Amino acid sequence: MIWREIKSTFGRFASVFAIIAIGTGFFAGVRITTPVMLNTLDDYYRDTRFFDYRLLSTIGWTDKEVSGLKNESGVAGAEGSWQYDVILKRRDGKEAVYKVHSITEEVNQIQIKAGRMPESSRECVIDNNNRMGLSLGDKVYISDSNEQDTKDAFAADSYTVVGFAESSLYINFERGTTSIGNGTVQGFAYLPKDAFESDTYTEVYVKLDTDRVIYSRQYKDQMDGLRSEWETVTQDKADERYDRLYADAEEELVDARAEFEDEKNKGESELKDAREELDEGKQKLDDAAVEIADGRQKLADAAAELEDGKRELDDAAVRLSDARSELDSGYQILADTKLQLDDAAAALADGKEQLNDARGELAENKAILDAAGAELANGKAELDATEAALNEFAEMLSSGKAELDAANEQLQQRDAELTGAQQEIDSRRAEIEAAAAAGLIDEDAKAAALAELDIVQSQVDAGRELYESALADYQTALEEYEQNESIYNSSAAAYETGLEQYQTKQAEYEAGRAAYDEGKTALDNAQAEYDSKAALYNEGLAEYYSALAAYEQGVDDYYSGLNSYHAGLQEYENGLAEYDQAASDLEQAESDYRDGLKEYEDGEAEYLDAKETFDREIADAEKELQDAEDDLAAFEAPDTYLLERGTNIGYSCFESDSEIIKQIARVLPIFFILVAILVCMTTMTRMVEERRGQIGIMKGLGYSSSNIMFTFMAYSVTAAALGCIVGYAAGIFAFPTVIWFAYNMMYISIPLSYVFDWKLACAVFAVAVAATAGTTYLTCRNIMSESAASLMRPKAPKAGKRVLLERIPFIWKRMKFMHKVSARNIFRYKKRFFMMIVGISGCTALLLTGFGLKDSIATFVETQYDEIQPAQMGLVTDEADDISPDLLKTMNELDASYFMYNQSSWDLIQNSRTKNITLITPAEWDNIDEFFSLRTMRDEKIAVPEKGEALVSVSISTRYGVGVGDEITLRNEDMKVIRAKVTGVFKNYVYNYVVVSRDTLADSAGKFTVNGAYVTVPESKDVYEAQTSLAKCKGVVSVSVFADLENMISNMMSSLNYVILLIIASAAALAFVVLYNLTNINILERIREIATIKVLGFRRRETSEYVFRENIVLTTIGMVIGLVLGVFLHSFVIDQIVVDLVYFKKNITLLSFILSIILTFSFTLLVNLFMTAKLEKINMAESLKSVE
Amino acid sequence: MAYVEFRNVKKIYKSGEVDIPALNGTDFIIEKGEFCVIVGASGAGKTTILNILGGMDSLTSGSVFLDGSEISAYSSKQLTEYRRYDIGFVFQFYNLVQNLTALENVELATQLSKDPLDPAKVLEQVGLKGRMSNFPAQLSGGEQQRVAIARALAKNPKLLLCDEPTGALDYQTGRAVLKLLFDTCRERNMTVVVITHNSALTAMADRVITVKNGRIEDMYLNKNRIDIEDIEW
Repeated sequence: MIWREIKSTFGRFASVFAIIAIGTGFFAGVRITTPVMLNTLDDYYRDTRFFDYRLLSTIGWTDKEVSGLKNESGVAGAEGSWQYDVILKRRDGKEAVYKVHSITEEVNQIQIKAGRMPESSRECVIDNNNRMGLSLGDKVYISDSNEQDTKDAFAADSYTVVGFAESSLYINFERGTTSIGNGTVQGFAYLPKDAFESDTYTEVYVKLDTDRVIYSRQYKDQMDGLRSEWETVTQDKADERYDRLYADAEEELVDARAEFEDEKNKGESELKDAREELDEGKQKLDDAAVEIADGRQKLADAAAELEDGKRELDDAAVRLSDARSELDSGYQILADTKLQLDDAAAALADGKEQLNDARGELAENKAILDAAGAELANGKAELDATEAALNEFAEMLSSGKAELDAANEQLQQRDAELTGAQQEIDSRRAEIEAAAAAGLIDEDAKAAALAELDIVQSQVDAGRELYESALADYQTALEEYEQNESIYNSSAAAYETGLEQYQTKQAEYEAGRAAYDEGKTALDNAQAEYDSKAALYNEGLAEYYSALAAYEQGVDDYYSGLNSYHAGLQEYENGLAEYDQAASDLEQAESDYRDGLKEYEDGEAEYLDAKETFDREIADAEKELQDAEDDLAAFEAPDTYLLERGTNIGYSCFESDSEIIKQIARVLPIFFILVAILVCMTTMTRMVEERRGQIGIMKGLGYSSSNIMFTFMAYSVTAAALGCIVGYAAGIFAFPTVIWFAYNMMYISIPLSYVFDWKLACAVFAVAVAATAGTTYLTCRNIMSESAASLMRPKAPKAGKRVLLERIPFIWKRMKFMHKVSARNIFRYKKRFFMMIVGISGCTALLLTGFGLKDSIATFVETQYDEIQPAQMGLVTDEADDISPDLLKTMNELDASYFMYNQSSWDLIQNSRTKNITLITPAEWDNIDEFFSLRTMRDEKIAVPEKGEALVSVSISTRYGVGVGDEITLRNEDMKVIRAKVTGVFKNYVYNYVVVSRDTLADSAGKFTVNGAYVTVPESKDVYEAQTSLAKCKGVVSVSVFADLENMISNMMSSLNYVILLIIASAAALAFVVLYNLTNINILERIREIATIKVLGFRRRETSEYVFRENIVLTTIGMVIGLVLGVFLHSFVIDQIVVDLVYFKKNITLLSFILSIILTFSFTLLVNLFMTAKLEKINMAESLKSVE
Repeated sequence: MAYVEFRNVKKIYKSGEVDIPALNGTDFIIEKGEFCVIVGASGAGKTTILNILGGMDSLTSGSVFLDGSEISAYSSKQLTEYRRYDIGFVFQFYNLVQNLTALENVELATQLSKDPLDPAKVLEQVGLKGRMSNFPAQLSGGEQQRVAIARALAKNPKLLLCDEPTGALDYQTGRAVLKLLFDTCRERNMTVVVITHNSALTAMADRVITVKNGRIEDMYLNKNRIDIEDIEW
């Protein structure tokens, strides 16, 4: 019956099964993860014999102490070992700092992951996770850059890598820091014990005979109980060794002192002998030196004398040569003068002759000129006579001319008269003829007139004859005149020619006259010049004769000087030869002296060397002895340290890492259980509803209620039980596996030791089954109370109802018809509505919490080290009034800025709870902002606390309820107490800090000392180099680089990402199951309605929209609620994850909101897609056939 | 060609290895504007005919035509369109959407149609003027069936298919509903096909098709049809 039921409604069965499986799986899985992790590590530590105590002593340990420790009660094993920070070098020169341990067998066993264990003292194994690029068989070298002490600790300087190992001392990937190299330890290496030279171990590991679980209360209690006892044991062992060492050293010292004195005396006497010998030689040398000096003086004198003689001779030679050349030039001048004088005498004789010739010529010219003068005077008189005759003749000619002209005029007048008369006769005749021709006068008149005329005519003709004879007379006279005139003219021309000739001759005469005068003057001048030259010549001649006499005298003088010079020269040369001989003698004496001196000096140096060596050796030996004595005096009783497991980084990190999971496990799974129950309830309700008719029939047939109910109970309980078993099995396996896988990023991979927690299994099973059965019972109980008859009637369909929205016509009117339909449907099924909202909002809230956790974790480290503590390094120094000068100098060299403070550990006593906090007391407040920003969560600046006031970090404020205005009480291990009023809460995510002023601290603790500093170096400097040099300074205990710390915390937190991924995946599964289940029910319940709309012709898409629009609206509503819920849930979870030293930020980024929204919608759409296929399959004809 | 035509239509349900023929070679025609009654005993195959004609079910062989188109060749997508625009259904159990008022139920159909009638007017015509804003649960069976008819009519379909429309109604109400259908047929020249096991109704039909064992036993045109008011059963 049940099987048939399951088979026919497999989807429903599966959904109950799945939701229960998911719920229990998540719940159990997350819950069991922390126990599994702890169990795993506990097994691992037990297998590898992880230590309980690590003992350190300032004087080291020997086998004697180790065997003593082994015999202590409760000790399962003790083993001495060496551990050094060493710079290792590869063949190619690459270097890295490694922690080099000796291999221990009784404790802290190592596991070879590749290769084998070392078999000889020249072999080693290397950190499996930091192989330094080495392969098996490679050699690794102890670098020369190591400190001498470190190098001395090893028997060899190179080792062959024969294996790669993991060590229980290093379960996570933090290797710590060091003061050598770049400050970071790269990894570890293990060497066999005989590879170490030293005979004192650096540490002893002790394994107690206890099997209490790591981190357990029991283990911690046991350790607390044993602590003081073991501190005493440790100190006693170290003291025994100290006493032994002290006695040995004392004895050694006495022997050394005696030996020293012997040696000293012997050396001193040897030195004394040598000294005496040297002094003797020195005396002899000094005598020789005096003699040599004497000789040298004499020689110098002679040289000076010779020098003088030589200088005189040279002067004389110069003088002689000068005189000689003077004589020669004098003679030359004399010869020249004689030649000139002779030339002048010849010239004077020539001049005289020329003068005489010129005088004769001049006299001749005078005579010629006088004759020409007389001739000219004659010519002149002749010409004057001719001129007078000519003038007379010209006068006669002009009077003849005048007569002729008058005659001519008369003649012309007479001619004109005659011509007129004739003309008148002719015109009178013409008139008569004309009148006769005209008949005016008759022939008679005519003849009369004519006759008169002929008379007149004869008179005129007579006149004419007279005239003609007068004219001829005139003509003859004229010819005569003209003849006279031409005679005159030729005579005048001859005169003119004669005159010209005279004038020419006159000019010629006058030129000759001037030339004569000129010649006369020149002659006179030449005569005067000749006379002066003759006088000069006579003078020169006299001068010449006197110079010639002087020259001859000079030649005589010269020859006598030359003779005396030659005599002096001979004398000088003799002196020089003598001098050279003396000088060479002296040279020899000096050379002898120098040889002697050198010999002496060598002896002296040798002596001094020997003396100095002796002194130094004595001083050294003395100092050595003194030092040894001082050392012995200062050889203090040793300090010892008892270190527990908590000092191992891996051990302590693991505890807090596993704690986080534990805290998450406390909250989140509740959601899943809640949703699972809700899903069960609706599913079963639906099932009972569907079987309504059947129940009615069975009831009618007489089955009892419990009988009927059993079917449903069995159905739901089977599903729940199966789901629970599968879910639990998968959960406790899957969750630890996945989370452990994530942790493998930080921890070595240790095979998980799974835990099957029966108690948890039973509890989960009981809850799941009870919850399912309970919900089924509640559902059935309702229906069972109805009568069989009413059950057999079909249940009236749920009546339609108006929704609230319709009363707001403003909106309702604007909605599309289909949207109105959806709106009504959404509110029609209240139960489903709330289910959907709960499921979806739960899913969104979980998603948002998951993403939010990631945000919180991802950002707080960054904020801490970039904003709050921007310093690069933290220094721990010795307690002192002020920072050490050495450190100060180094910081100045590094150009570092720094901030000094006192840091101390105190307990905060609040509401009867005690909480360990770190108290920071700045030396100065001036530049605190650059290193430690004190701001509120809202980023407001906080005032500097006065005396009696304190600032607390936000972690303290929230976890211990300390607010501004409250008073806090702090107590340190010396039971000193500080009471202060809180004046500010500052933002801080890593560590729990209280900040007070130095007055406040001094008031309680007595005084203020500096014991730490934050340091920042300029960007140009390498932080790790700075770290190295700071670490070497006097007074500096340790230097940590915050970037390393930041990385370490980041890595630790990054493993949480997987946990978060797991949450997100679970949320997705949750959403899917809820949505699928509800949509499925929704479709089944409304199958008739859907068939109807399909028949009406709704297209595929329209049909899906009709159904799924409701899903989408519900998803949206659920999501919005979920986002709000998520913010609270996130905040709640963050509060729950109390990692002691860390305070998470509570911010969620926008991206996380968006992702949560997108994912929720994606699930909805995915489910819708899935269900569309189901809608398609609905058979209309079948569904509409009848009422249900 | 006739307005509606079935040609040798076979519908065989396969149930395991047994073939159950619902229709075994059915041929008939219906002309446009006719009031056709398909009558037969339970299980005779009349609902199968209606489902095939209404595009809700496929056939095994043969062909079906409506207004010249071969419905039997339609894909399921085309069948959806066919139901959407050409067919109006009236069911025995009304199949109203419970969450919608009378008017909204009609509107639900008119949303789909290309050329719908005014929902309020159609409701008025079927005599539900005063009940428009009531939910189905608040209406009597006859009223619900009238809403269903109004819903089918408002789409303005080519063919109105009614599956035992009076099956769940009392005598008087049934008559009123049938009258409404007949009047619609006459007034709108709508082709109406009514399926019933009540052979008394054949008297009012224009065409009577009798189905028996998946075959057409008889088909005739009613020469002396009687008004519904005058039929008694």
